[in-house]
Amino acid sequence: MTPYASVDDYFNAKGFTPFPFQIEAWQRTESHKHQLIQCPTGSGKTLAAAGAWINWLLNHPESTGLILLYITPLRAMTRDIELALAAPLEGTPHRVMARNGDSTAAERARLMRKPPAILMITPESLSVLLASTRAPDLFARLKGCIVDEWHDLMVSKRGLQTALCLARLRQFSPQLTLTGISATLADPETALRALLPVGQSGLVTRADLSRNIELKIIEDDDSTRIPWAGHMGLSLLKQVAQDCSAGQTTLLFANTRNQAEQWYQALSIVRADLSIALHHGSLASEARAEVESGLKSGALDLVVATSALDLGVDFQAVERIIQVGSPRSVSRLIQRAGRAKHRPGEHPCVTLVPTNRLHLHEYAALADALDDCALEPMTPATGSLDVLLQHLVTLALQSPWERDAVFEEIRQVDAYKSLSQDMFDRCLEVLEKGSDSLTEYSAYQKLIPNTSGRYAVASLQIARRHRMSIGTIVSHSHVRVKMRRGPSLGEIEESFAGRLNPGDVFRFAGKRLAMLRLQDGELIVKSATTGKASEVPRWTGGRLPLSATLADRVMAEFERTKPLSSRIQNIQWLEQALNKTRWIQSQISACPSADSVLCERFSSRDGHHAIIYPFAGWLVHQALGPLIATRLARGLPATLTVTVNDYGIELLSPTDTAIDGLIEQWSELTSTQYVLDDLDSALNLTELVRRQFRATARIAGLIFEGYPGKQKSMRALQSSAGLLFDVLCEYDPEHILLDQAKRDVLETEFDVTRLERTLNRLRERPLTVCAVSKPSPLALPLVIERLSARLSTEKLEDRLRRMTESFHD
Amino acid sequence: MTDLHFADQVFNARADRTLFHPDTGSLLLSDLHLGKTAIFQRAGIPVCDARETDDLARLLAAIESTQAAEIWILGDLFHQVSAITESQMACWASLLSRAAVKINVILGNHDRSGEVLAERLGMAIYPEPTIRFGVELAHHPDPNTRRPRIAGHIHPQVCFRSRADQLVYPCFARPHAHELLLPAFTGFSGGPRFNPQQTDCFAITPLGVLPPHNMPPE
Repeated sequence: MTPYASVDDYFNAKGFTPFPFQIEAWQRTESHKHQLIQCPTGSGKTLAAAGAWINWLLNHPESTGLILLYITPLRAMTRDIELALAAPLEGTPHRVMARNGDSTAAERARLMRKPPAILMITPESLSVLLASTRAPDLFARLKGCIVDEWHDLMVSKRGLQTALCLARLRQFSPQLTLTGISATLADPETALRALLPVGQSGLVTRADLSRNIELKIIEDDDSTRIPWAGHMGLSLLKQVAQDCSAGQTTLLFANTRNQAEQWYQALSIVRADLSIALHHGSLASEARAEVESGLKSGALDLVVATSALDLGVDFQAVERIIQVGSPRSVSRLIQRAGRAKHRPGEHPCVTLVPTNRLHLHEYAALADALDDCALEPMTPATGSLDVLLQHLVTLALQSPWERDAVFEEIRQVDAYKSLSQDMFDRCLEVLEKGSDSLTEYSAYQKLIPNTSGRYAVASLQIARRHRMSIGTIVSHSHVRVKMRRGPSLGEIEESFAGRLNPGDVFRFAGKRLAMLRLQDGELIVKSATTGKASEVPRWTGGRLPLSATLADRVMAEFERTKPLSSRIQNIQWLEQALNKTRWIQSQISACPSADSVLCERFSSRDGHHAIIYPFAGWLVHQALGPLIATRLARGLPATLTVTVNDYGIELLSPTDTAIDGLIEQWSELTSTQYVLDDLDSALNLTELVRRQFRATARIAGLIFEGYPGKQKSMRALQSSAGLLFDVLCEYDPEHILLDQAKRDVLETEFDVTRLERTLNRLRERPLTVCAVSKPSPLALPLVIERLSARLSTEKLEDRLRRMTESFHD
Repeated sequence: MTDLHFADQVFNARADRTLFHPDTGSLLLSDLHLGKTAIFQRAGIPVCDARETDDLARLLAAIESTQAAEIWILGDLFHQVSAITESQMACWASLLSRAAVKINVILGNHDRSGEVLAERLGMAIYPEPTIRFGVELAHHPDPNTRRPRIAGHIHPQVCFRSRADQLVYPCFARPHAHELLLPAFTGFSGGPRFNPQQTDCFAITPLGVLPPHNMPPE
């Protein structure tokens, strides 16, 4: 066929009209402006970002070499994007190619020999390409680089890796035009800054495709009440099941894999007439791909999914979205609502299934936040040293590098702009000598300066190992679940697999399975015909914390003066339900308010309870609870048990004195002085850092996951990371990687910045103490979940004593 | 130090990862893995020199404090014989020369072609198994042997688990009445984890050596 004359020609031929934001984006790229295109999925973002380059290629059929790089975090997405980019180039000699971990050796070789015009790549594969001595030739003609899903990448270490790679690409091609693509963000300027080299500016291109999300809440009736506590939500199964219908593809989002498995089971039973499928991150990739293609074609009626489906490809056939429980953040609700088909003039509607009554408050708060366009601010990751160390070795593999030049290059990256010369030198010393301290590592080698003072990789062994372990994604330790005769079903956590005995029946991938044996890191199972399935695997990290934006609004929900948002369809029912909760809360205790901190105290046969409600989300409460308990326990003989959830913190003490102390010493307990020291003694921080160290060590190249096909079992890897941690702690406690692991724990597991803000807020407000006779509605989830969420403030010796005592009797 | 009964005799399970037989004055240990540190360093992994010299210092201290008459190393003296350098040999030889007693060694799977090196460190080599005080001393455990056997090789660890917590320590493990496994003497090694409810384990913890089914010392 004759090639299209231009991208406009392509649109005309297909009968499309470009959106105004697409035209705007093309013009900006044509005038070599960096930009961040902010637009929801399924609205033509790929062609918006790449259109100008396609135009250029259509006008330059003679051009050779790689012109455009398209970085995407999701391997699964590449096929769809590849098709979208290749279609307008049909009939020209220009090719579009994907390079990721699945590419064959032949494809990789061809990439170097005859580069395509457009290359789609994951951050990890880009890093691997940059480790090649041929990288300068490959990227010499590069004109543009598109980074997809930048909002998702930028908050993680993968984003740091991407940004470092971009800095190297600019060395080959200084005029590189950068285009980021992101979902709607509260602060797109910050996201753009994190993408661009320091000192350069760009523009934010907004797709003005407002999607006014409507919300419908599943109502309970007299036979099924929504419970006060709980997070499975199956009490509303009947209503949800009635809400689904054949031929109308529905996507049901659960927050955890466990919840997804249970809802899938339950719905399969009550709606055997529908074709239902399950999708979550632990299932085998073939199984997931099958579900995804079923969603695209509309062959499935109902898919139960987790956040693994939040990102990525569009599913044009999806008609409805159901959310079980609370989406926990405004951005996630918008993201999930965006997965449904969008018809012009129609508003997407999300059906919400409360799993406890307090979720109704979250829904009301979510609706308000949508009205105010109050999205969670997203903070780009700050420059981690483990990612930097990995990148420095990658650069040395490409060609020996010169210290000052590379330091300047790194400082061009926004996340590393405040990296000091001193810290950079310390990193170099770690790569050269093993450590920047006086500790001796006499046989250590990684990088060595060559005769001209440039840093090169010390040995072939190190080069080979490094190429194999490029990347920043560190998985939890998992074992593959495999049928005795048949396919692999997916992966479950090693700790769960380790607890199973042969013959045990459990539910996974929507099936009842009996364990046969654990063999070579695989869990061999068969279908169970008899026996009760007692357990669903638990996955760590499955819990979604309530965002700060939403937490503040939930607290305000108890003092609501303005009417509920009109985007809620059953507004009257919700109004009544909320009033009922507020009324009961104020009868038993008091409603939380913005100018004081509510504290409820009561006694039970367990002891004396005090519950305070900072409404800061459990990420913060996880640290705040033990912090207050440790400070309170000083000078008191009592042991305190701490339980936290998104709304509050419960302290349980065998004596009354501790609770009195909490009230009397409130301002000292919430002091921001010595927070880190107190946390250290409160949280077994060392143990948490030890666990985090596995990721840090893996990224920095200290531990190695083995050659492909010969993967060392993750357990072996884990113990060797723990061993390295112990050795470093003992002999080289100032090592920069220990410090990095500690910072990662404080940032990601506790959000220490928010902790300090919360402490300040708490200290400024008086405590309103209510003596209650029974737990209030707000307290119930905490009291009921106490056993599952208890935090230990014990010292190692005490833990050991307790554990050895418990199996003594 | 905790009494450990095996093959109708009393041994001392020591917190320094050695086993002492008071009747004969024999000190037993296993899996020293000399040279492992340097191998890690050459692969770009920072495990410092002191990690290994401390192991040797601990060995000398154990000899000193037990006043042992003979020392038995039950295999894996070295980590990888081919990677050992002359300077390492010189360093180890000078440290070990301070030991006042003869060191006997039964070579393990890591010691292949390590005979010459072991002799240069002043050690006497014995075959596997060697019988002493009615017990087979060996590197490898052997489930088919009829005589009681003390062996290394496995690097046993014990894992205490509770609902939400776990702690792992090296241990002496007695999987059968006829088999006693020594912990790896080197502090830089992992190993399989035994369940203390299924196997008799003497855990080496900061509270001392905890005997099976027993309370930690107050």
